[in-house]
Formats: sequence, C-alpha cells, structure tokens
Amino acid sequence: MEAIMCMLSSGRCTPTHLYLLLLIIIALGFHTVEGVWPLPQTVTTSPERYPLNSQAFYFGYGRQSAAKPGCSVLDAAFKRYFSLIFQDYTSGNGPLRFNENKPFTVEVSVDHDDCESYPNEDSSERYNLSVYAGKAFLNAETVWGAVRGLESFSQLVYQDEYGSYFVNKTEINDFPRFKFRGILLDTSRHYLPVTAILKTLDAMAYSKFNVFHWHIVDDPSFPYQSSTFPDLSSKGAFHLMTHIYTQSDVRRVISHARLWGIRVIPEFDSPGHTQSWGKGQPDLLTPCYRSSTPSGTFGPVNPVLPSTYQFMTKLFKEVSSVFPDSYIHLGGDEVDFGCWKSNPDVRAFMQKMGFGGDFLKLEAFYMESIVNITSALNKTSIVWQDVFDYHEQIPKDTVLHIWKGTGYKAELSRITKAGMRVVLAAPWYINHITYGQDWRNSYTVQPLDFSGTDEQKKLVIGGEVAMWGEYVDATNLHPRLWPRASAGAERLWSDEQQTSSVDKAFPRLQDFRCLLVRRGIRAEPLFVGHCKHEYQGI
Amino acid sequence: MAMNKFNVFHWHIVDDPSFPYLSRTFPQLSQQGAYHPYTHVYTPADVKMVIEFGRLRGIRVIPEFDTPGHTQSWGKGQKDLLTPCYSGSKPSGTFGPVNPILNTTYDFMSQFFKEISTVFPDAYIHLGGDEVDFSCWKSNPDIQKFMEQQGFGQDFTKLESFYIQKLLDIVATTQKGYMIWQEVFDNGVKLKQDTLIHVWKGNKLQYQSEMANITSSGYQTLLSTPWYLNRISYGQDWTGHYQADPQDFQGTDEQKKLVIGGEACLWGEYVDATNLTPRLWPRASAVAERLWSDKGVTDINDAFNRLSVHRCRMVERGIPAEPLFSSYCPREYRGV
Repeated sequence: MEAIMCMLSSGRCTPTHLYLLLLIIIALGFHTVEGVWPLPQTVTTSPERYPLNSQAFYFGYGRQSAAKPGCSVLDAAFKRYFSLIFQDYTSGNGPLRFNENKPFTVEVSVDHDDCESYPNEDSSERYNLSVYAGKAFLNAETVWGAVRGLESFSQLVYQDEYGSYFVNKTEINDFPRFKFRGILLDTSRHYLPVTAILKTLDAMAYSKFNVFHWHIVDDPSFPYQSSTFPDLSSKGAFHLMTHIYTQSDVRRVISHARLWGIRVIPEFDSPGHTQSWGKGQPDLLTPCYRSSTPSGTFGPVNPVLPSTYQFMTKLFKEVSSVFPDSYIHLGGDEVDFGCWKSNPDVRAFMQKMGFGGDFLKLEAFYMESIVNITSALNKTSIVWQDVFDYHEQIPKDTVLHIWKGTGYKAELSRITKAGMRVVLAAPWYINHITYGQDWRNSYTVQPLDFSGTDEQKKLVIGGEVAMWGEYVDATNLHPRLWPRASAGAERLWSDEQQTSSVDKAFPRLQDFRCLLVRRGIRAEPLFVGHCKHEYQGI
Repeated sequence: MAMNKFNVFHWHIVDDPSFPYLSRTFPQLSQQGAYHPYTHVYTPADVKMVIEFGRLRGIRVIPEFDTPGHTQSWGKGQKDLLTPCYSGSKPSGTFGPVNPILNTTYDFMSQFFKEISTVFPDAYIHLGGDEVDFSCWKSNPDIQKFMEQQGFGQDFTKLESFYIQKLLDIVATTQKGYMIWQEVFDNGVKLKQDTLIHVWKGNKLQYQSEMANITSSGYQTLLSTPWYLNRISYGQDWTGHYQADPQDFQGTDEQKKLVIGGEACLWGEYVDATNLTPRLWPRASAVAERLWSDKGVTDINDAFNRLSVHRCRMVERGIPAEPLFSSYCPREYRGV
C-alpha cells in the first residue's frame, strides 16, 4: 500500500518503494489513464485495477438522479457505450472466463432532467467520474455532461493480452475549457451522403466536439430540399434525387446529433457563395452587365429588390423551424462587388441610398437586413469576420467567426475589444493538407494568445475545425478529418498548460487513433507504427 | 492498377520498422521482426495470392528486400546480421546497417535470396541499396580493421560497394536480374549490363541529369522522383505529376530508349488501409497516362475533363478514388 500511496503523492518515494511499485506496475500491466482524449481537467489514477465482465456489467440511474429510466439520451447512450466498451462482445455466450462474475455498475446521476431538450450554448458539460471496485459513480449537471463522462469512462476500459477487460481506480473531475467546439462540413462542393455525416457525428462525440456547423449550400450545389422553395434543390442540387437532403434526412442528422449532445448549426451563406440558389430562384441573384446589356452571368444576391427580402424571410422562417438550435450561421464572406458594380439598377439604388461608390455600405445594408430577419425569428446569428471588418451594424450578441489565416490574433483583439463574441477557425482549416505530422500545428494553437483584457478573452466562446469540401467527399473525408481534428479537440477542451507538449501528446494521440479505428472510424495514421486492431476495409 | 493499365507492383515489403514477410527458411525474421507475428504478417499463401491476383491482371510483382540500410527489423530475428554500433570502445546496444565483414552475412543472404527467387516468379528482384548511414560502421572497431585490411581508408562508399557487389553476385546466381536505387550506380559499383537503375532523388534538374548519366552508361532506367505520391499538398497536385516526362532530358534517341518506364511511389510513413486508396487514386492515374500514352498527350484541361470521368468510373467500380475538385459523380455512394 505504501508503494501505491507513494505514487499518488510524488516526491516521497524511496528507491525500494519505487522498485516495488515498478514490480506491481509490471505485474498489473499498468494502463495509464492518460488514455482519455481530450485530457480531462483533473485526473487521479491508481494501479489498482478491477476486472469487467460483459455478462455482469450494468449502467444504472442513481437514486438522486433527476434523469430516470426512459431518459432518451441516457438510455441510448448506455446501449451505445456498452458495445463501444466491450468490442469483442457477441450476444451469445462468451468464452469461459476464469474470474468470478464480479458485477460492475456505472451509476449515473444527473441534476437536471433535460433529456428531451436540445443542447444549447450554455449547457453544462461538467462531470465527475469516480471508479472503485465494482462500482463507478458518474455525476453531471446535465445529460450532456453525463454523455461526456460516459465517453471518458469508455476510454478508461482496456484489455490485457488475454482479452480480459479492466478499469483502474480513477477519479476524474472534468469540464471543457471552451463551450463551443465545432466541426465544419461542406456539403455543397461535394455532396456527403447522410451516412458519412452520421459517422462524422459519432467520431466528433469520441473527441467531445459539441457543434456541427453544417455549411449545407454554396456556389456549386444546393442540396437542401426546402419545403417552401422545392425548386432550390430540384434545380440547384447536383442531382435532384440522389444528391439532396430531404427534410427527413435533416431530421435524422439533428436527432442523431442530439443523442451525442451535439448542436447542429446550419449555414445559409449569402449574399456571396450563392450561385446555386439562382438556378431555382430566378431574380434572386444580381444579373451582371457587360456595359449596358446583361452578360448572362449572375453575381451575389440582389440587394435592391424587395422580392429578395421576401424570399429570405420565408426561407429563414423555414430554416429556423427545421433547425432547433438557437444559433444560425448567415455567412457574409467573400462578396465580389464586380457584378453589383456592373448593374445599373444596383448603381441607381446606391445613389438613392446615399452610399456613393462604397459597395461595403451596400453589403452592410444587405447583411443587416438578413440579421434582422433572423433576430425577429429569435435566433442568434453567427457571421464570418468579413461582416465585422466591413463595419456592419449588427446586434451585440452576434457571434463573429474568424477564418482569415493572416493576422487572426489581431482580429481576435479587434473584435473582442468591440465587445463581441468570437469563434476561432482560422488556424484549424485542416482541409489544407501538407506532408507530415501537421496535427502538431492544430495542437499548438493558443486561442487566447492575443492582446486583450481578461474580459476580452472571455468573449472567445470557442473554436472550429473546418473541412471545406473542394477536394473532399466521402471517399477521403474520414481519414482527412481524423485524427487531425482530434488535436484541435484537445486544444478546445483541455487545460492548455497540461497539454502544451507535442511530444507527450504524440503517444496518447496514437493510442486514441487506434481507438477510433477500432470503433470503425477510418482515422489515418500519425506516423509509422501499427494498431492491434487495424482497419479492415479497402 | 489494372483499370489504369499499370503493370508492375513494386512491393517494398520490409524495412526498418517491421518485417512482415514470413520466410520459410528464416521464420524468425517475421516472428521477431513483424509488428505482430500472426496478425501483421504475409504468409506464403498470402504472397502466392497477391502474385496470382496480379498475374491474372497482367501485373508483375517485383519484391524489394532493401539492404544494407533500412534493415533494423531484420536484426530482431537474425542475430549478428546487423552491425553493432559502438560508443567509444564498448557496444552501445544499437545496431546499424547489415554487417558487411562477416561471412555469416553472405551465407544468410545466399539462403535468403534463394528462397526469394523461388517465391517470386518475376525475372527481377529489387535489392534496394539506398540511404546507407555510415556512422555505425565507422564506430565499429572490427569494421575499421577490415577497412584498413582492404585498403579502403576512410571511404565507406567503398565498403558499401564491397557489400553490394557480393550481394549482386549472390543474386545473379539465382538467375534473377536486379533493380537497385540510384545510389548504387552513383557510388560506382560494378553492375551487370541488364541492371535496372531506379531514380528517386533530387529536384528536376538533378534527376534529369541523373537519367542522362545512367543512360549514357548504357543502363536501363526507371523514373520515380517526380512521382512520390506520398508527398501530399493542398490542391490539384496531379497536374504536376501529369507534366513530368521520364524521357525529358538531354540525350540521344538511343539513350531515351533505355528509359523503360517509371513508378509512382506511395511510401507508408503516413499511409495505411484507412487512407491508402483515396491518396493513391486518381493521382496515380495521371502518372499512368504519362507512362502509357503518346508523349504529345499533354493538354491539361482536356486531361482534367477525362480524368474526372475516369475518377467517377473508378468510384463506381468500388475504388474510393478521391475527387479532383468540386463536383459529383452520377453513380456514387452505392457502397459508401
């Protein structure tokens, strides 16, 4: 016992204690609890380990728990995590194991009965997990925290070389550093089948990501099947039947995400990035002119016509009811003014409004109108940083999304100085692939390393790992996203000081990557090496 | 490969990190040297299956057993094969390239390559010979003594050549031809006239001049340098691969005839079954056209249109080739 106590309180170990401890460690096959990714805020562990038997393993609700059997989120989680923990489990009789059927129960207690709700921007994800002989206690404020705790528990369980399952005596107190930890998928540059999106949500949950930013439409295609405007997808999708998301597809994604505690924030980006919108909504886009005649091409959304705003109101009304999250992403990036400039009606409008030759004012006028539409629908808007950079008048609770790579730290300072909240994506554009271990770039980002007061730093609500789709579809999405995105996941969840060493992170991330592969996620390798259980597909 | 009319599978089967080839003569090599002696090995049956699968598609299988460098995993199952490195006057515990001064080394290589020559039916074997780090040899006193005896001075390329020469002679007795990486040629080793020299190093100017040198010495050559597909970058890098031409160097027509072809390489540091297929295709298809089609077929825009169609065709046939750019395939996602 002395040897074990010596482990927990460093500095008072004599050489004999250490030698004895080493023997114990070797005998027990000590499994480090730093096998949890992302690293929990506080973790204490012991070499004392307990056998787990899939025939006698139970999830249960604590007597004091506000959430009870019948809680959709936790019932589904218990089922999922049972299979994730006992990977070798078959529903028949397992091989005879020569340890006694010691039962093990994970008792889950939740303070608030929020089972039937959706996770939101303020949801607590805090949990504590205590693992003892025969029993583990998982306490959380919300069901979402319980789901996070279950994920950590599932990563504590391991198998020895004979296949027997064990979990060590552990104490974890955990909560995320940032509340907004997102992944962006782009389903316009390439259509992603629903199964690929669901698989991404699963992998997100394993890394404790909690926001799915669905960049659902853009220039190349409009796969969202709108019930109000069905022509948008029937004319704007790559194929009107095979490359669309029906309302039921969308509902499926949202409900799958909910069970993982993942928010789904759709982005309907305008006025730029809207070529595909014009296919099914004539007169929506600005006709470009070559001197005094229309050239036949179209530009950004036409900001001068009332029909534009009538359309947008109806569309966002539908989108607001289809997507339950209180946030909606309105885009607003990369608007090319050339077409607006060429159009005489637009120029006339500029004159009338007193904008002169400053098209930024016209863009601001447009974005402000759209933000007003969504505000009236009780939604909070997220917009790309361009909207702030162009001095647009937007509600104070609008969130700015920083994406431009150069000078993002200065942008962080500027925007938070103005008292507005930000989400940081710029250093995490992992669609930009390079040769070698570029996960280290994602890992070493310091989101609060910019000049500003503590109050300013509080306005950084989180970050987002982006996988834009120009070169990505379901053939290469998963290996490109994982495990590189997980590096960002740890940066957004864990304490920065405890996770500052890339060298220490490497073996943990390698192990985590093998865990992802074992769970059926085609996470690519970090470097030379192998996993006990390799990916079996082609 | 067959869909792209590739006809040679160069199987770089073993290297430093692991030795998955299950040898009948020396089963310890994979027992000790593979990542796992059962789950991460190629049994004789596995190898036979690959060779036959290739044969039915008209694809030759050329194995590479790279020595004397790149052999860390060989030493796990074959004691005394690798050179013990010294720190000062004592062995440091680490090992270096194959030990070129022991007779046992050459006995081993004879038996080993005898087996290889029977297992792999192709007329050629790739013997490697690249990136030999001399520092371990230098540290070893027995080797130092040998160098002195042989009159090599401190020129370790001479020792390397000594080894390679003996190895090539051994392999020649098995009636096989051999392929070697360019270093072996660069270091002046005496080679059989039918040796294939594999060019992999340098920038464009350097590999072009290497091709010129090799062919002017009368050897056949194979180009890989511009086609290291493991080196990924953002965007449409297939265009660079498409434009490289293996006969693009200063030389006579006779010399150009000695360029027998090229090889797209997908080295495995960052690649396994999770990402192999999308990383290889359709980027390798750009190389395939360069090696099959007429040299005048160079229009990039036309190639883009045709390659997009070809990529969708591979996807439809169950090969998850990654996209070239924003778009879609009419018959995708049947199995994904």
